[in-house]
Amino acid sequence: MTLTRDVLRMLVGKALAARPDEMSCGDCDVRLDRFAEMTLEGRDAADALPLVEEHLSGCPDCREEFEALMGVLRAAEREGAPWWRRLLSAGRTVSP
Amino acid sequence: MLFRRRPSPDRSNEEWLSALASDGPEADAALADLRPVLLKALRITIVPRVDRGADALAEDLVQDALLHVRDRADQFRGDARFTTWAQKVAVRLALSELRRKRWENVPLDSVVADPPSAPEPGADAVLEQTEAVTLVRRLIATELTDRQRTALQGVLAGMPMDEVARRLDTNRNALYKLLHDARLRLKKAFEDRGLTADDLLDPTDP
Repeated sequence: MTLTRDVLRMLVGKALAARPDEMSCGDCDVRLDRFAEMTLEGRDAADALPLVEEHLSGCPDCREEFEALMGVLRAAEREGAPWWRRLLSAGRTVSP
Repeated sequence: MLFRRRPSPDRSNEEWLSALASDGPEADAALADLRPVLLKALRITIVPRVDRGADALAEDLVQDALLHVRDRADQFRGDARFTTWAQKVAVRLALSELRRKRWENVPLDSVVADPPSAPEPGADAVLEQTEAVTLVRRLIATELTDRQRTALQGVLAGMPMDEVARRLDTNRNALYKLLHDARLRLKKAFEDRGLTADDLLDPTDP
């Protein structure tokens, strides 16, 4: 196994952070939709669902799925927003 | 009638579940309403991750996504909108497929094999010589099972969990548990030797 500096850092960090009560990918997955909606609503999802947050910080696959789902939800939210808010969120100015 | 009622995905969670559980036109109408929602989720997921063919792949996957959603609707817990849950299913399906395609020609052996005896010159070669690396290598060799070692090496090499799991003939959930147990074993080995992160990682390392 090639132990580069980054790999060593990651491995030691993950090992030392290991806890018996960690959430599995499956347990994270069943809560991910709720976690994503809370995040979208600006609520403190990490506080409400700390084990999900912890899992997402250590599992790149679940993290990628969460971020992709957020991209989908944000796009839907933009589409449902009034025209002036869509313009503002796109960073464009509105002429008087 | 002057105005035909537009199919609308604006159903309550209960209405979605009821429609999908039924047979006949009600289920067909629910699936027809859900299709554009899932197709959009697939496109948004796939487009930034492929150079070309995103639309075709999204179209290929949308039927699978609909079947997944219908077949697993009883797993929906009801603590989010049904469409969010269905979009999550579609996103996961798309990412699993992209991971499979990206890694399909990469055997696990090729990413977990030990490097040639002469390391490349540079900072990493210097790191290979340190005490911490020697110790961690030894603990990986002595504390972990072959399967844990292989799984850990695959994931550390950047292979997605889905793909490591596929090659080990298991699923991602079981793989996570295998890796979790490996991390706990390494943690205990560090603690038994009184080693902290500072001992194992160069504190001057940026």
